[in-house]
Amino acid sequence: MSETSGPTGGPGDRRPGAAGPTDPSRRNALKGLGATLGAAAFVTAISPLRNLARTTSPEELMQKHYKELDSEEKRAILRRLEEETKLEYGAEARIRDHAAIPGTKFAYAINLSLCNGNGKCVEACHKENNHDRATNQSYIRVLEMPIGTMDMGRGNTTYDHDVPAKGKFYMPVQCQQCDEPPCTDVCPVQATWKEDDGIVVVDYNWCIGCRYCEAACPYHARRFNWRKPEVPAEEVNPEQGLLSNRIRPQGVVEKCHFCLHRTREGRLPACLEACSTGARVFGNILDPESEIRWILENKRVFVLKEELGTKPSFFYFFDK
Amino acid sequence: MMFRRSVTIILGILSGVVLAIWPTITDSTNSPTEAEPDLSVVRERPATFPITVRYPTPSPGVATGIVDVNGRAITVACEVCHSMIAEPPSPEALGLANLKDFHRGLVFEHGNLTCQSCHDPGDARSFRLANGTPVEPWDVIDLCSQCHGPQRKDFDHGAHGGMSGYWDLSRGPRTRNACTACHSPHAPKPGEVRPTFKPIDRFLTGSDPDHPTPRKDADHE
Repeated sequence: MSETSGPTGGPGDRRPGAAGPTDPSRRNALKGLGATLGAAAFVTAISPLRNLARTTSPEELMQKHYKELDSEEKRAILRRLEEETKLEYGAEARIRDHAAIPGTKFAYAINLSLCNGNGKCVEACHKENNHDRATNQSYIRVLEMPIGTMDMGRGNTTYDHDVPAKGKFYMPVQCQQCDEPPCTDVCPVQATWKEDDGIVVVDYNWCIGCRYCEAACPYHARRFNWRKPEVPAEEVNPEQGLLSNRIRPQGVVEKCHFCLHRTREGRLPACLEACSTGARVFGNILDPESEIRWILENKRVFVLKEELGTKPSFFYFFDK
Repeated sequence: MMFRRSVTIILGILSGVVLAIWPTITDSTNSPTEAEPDLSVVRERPATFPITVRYPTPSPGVATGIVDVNGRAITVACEVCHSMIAEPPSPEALGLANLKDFHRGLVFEHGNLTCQSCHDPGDARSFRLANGTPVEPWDVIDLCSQCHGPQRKDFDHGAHGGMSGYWDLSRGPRTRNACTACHSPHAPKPGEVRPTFKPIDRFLTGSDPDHPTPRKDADHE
């Protein structure tokens, strides 16, 4: 064994002056080839950066994390985003930064005895939140479920017959605004977090689009912008929030934010107002007189996938 | 020189250790991160804005068999005849089965109720409770609550009937729906509807330029 791998044996035994590798013209040719290949590889490697330069302004590239911005920097960002909306979408938007209201924790409940799966909430979310028109994107999915199971895997979102169908019930699912959100835990850059009023938000400029959060969410509540959202100018909702419905860039993750640009002004979420069955109830869970508190105290509410310990702020109940 | 440098290093390490354990020292008495939510803000806020209740009072109408240009059935309201040419509704007309001829077109599917369960026999356009107390059209919810108590309780607590406007009444008004805004009093059971809006799956529909051919394993969901 040791003899065969000795210093004198094998093809590795080359002395200086031998023909081949030391031929000056061949060496130069190899050098040239290497340099060309290297340059090509470099150009290919930095091509995403060149793309970035085309789609991303220097201000956006250098923008700090949302939580590190002071009010002056925020104002500059809001004005820049409004200009970009005007340039890219031809729409006059009013983008604001809505802070959580002290003494507020939002919760939502849906009466599954009333919901008939008509999809009005899905459509309202689509319009309110400036979702991509081509894909009918929305933060809400309505699952048509066979009566007798709560297994989300048996739900179907693509039903297109008259509703309610016999033997089925309808369960709208959106972000559950968990008190123990797995999605924020897995974010490698802390681009998503839970705010004081319970809403889990995303800093669309800080998100790197790794989609870990999308995989971590047991409710399938997060959406990824595969393309730049396309919204006709006349359909853009001009009332926008920095952390909510302003038009998202390509390559970032987004999710339901309880319409924080509305709810942090005291208004009801768009999906609730659109619901034609009155199945949706929203409110401040810290207010003992609120509608949502009455639901939690008087109805037999449950949460989805309770066994995972995510502690949702989103509740479901049946009347009968 | 050497002495001063080592003193600096030792001071640095010491201060680092103190900084590192400081939160545990302070946490043992009062945790600043787990503060009680400030409820005073909620309780002090007065509810100042009104809640408006929409109460459309649909006329029952009798189908004439004619449709308008949009294909909707043309109906005739009761008072068209009963206020002018015809007699007041007969007290004997206690239900749909007793109505004859023209009245057969009236859609009425509301349990075992008769016209006069809600309508005043003396004036078909007025309502009355079971004990004879007159009810104004905007109080129609009181009329319905005689039988539908649980729904009334839910409505009073915002859990039935839907709403729009403000969840926070200290910031703005709210609109609610009376029973008849959604339910026809003469056939209150909601019918079937066609779902309005469906997500378009980029893989299954071929709507995505990167995936122009719909995937064959479409049923893997």
